[in-house]
Amino acid sequence: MKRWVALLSLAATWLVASSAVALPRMTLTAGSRCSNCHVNPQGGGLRNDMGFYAMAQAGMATWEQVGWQKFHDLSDNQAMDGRLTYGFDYRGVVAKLGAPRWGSDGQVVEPPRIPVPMQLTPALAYKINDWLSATASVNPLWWVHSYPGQSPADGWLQIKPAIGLPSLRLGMIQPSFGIRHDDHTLLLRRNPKALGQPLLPPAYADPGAEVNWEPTHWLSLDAAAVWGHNLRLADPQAIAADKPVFSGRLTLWPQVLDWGINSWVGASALVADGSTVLGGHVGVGKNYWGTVIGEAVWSKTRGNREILSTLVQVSHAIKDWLVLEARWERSQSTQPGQSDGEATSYVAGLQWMPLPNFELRPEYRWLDTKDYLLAQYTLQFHLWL
Amino acid sequence: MLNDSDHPRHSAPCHRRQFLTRMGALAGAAAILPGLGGCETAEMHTAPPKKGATLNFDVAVDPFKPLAAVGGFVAADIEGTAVLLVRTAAKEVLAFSRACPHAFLDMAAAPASKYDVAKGVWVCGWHISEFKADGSAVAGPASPSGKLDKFAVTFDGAKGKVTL
Ligand code: FES
Repeated sequence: MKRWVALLSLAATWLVASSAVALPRMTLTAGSRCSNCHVNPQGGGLRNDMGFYAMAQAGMATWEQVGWQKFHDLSDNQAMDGRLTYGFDYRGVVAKLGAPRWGSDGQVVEPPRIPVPMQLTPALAYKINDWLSATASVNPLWWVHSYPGQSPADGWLQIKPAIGLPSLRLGMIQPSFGIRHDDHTLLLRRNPKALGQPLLPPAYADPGAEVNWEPTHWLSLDAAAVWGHNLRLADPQAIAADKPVFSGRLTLWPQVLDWGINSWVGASALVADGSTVLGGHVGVGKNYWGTVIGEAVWSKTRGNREILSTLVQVSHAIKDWLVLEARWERSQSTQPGQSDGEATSYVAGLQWMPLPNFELRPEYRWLDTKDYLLAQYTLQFHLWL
Repeated sequence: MLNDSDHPRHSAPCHRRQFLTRMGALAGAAAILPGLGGCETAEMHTAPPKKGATLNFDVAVDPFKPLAAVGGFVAADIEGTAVLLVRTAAKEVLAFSRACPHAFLDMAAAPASKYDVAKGVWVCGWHISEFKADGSAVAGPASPSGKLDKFAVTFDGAKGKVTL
């Protein structure tokens, strides 16, 4: 038992490469799929045993070395002979949230810097038998702070007959589209004329089903149908009434093994109530070194509103516990009879893991829209199991 | 494929003193970053509100028809200033700035924003903050110190005027 745990731990250590949390770039510096380390095949959230062992190793120091082992005294994240997997994510940010404005005295008023608790999500997955499992998570902070379309919980039954065959998820799910980023502020998924309004909310879920299929190591396919209630709450202009939403994603995963190069390139589509969202994503990474990621999203919604957004992100792993990341984004919107929207964003920062399962992310953010410019330092923190 | 021995996955573990030194160094680096050019800034690309600018409205005429019923609200611009008009009683319309003091988002763009007639409060639908008629926040993340900018309104039950 101890031996396979050690072997698994070692394998996971090699697989996950340098990062703290579920990030798209991890697949590029490790050459592995999100599903290798996460219960959700889309990645993010609850980690499986591989994900647990990998993250329990990665940090500037171990909890034991700094004398805090009692806070980190776990040998695994499983119970009931491995049938039950448990975990949690706690995330928060200190930032100036929102936009500056004119005050009544004619001076510019900056939004206050506030601590925002984003997520406190306990999660469970239970393996009912070899091909059936149940997963659920809830975010009580949703009742404290949430944005339209965000769901307080998700959960699904997953039928996975065998590796290489399609698996089916049924329940409150998020349809797969493009890259699943962990940053909730991406322009890519927002309307540049109403930045508080997400077009595709980052942590939303609607009732429905999705088929995920990885027929070979270089191809994955996802197709979903959900009842778009939360998606309507996010952007009522895109979806006027609760209606079915259909989405599909295809990703190719070319690798040059001898050079340690991993990549993916793919396309997504989502249609609902006469609105269409199309996306393309591409990423290249070198094992344990760095990544370049690009993504573009175009949407046309009712009222002929069109939005085109583009993202380019680079990262470099200085250490396994310290990663430099920079991102550029631009988003433009047009709609007949209305003024155009435009926003550009630059983000540069560090992903720093002082200890395993604990990440600090100091960032500098520059956001320039048609109405205002806001540049600020922010700090995200993330504690998880 | 991944066992690239030229690039060991984990660096050597450090000990408590090393850890604290590194923490200190990184925290120090983070602390001096804001000093590098004083890079925090906020600028407006729009013109400031024009003191004394007015807007006349008639609840029988578009786009002000939602104000015909108590609880209705309308987003309006008065010479570039984003204003929210809310019908709160038979002879009362209130005018607030549309930027919520919590996260400064445009309240009219939030699908869940509404005037709660029973409670007599305006609800910012982004994160559900509630505001009294004088603009002060009484519940939600904008409370207790948040306050909406309020503008003067005259209203006779059918027609009215907002003055910045
Ligand atoms: S922006 Fe109004 S409550 Fe947060």
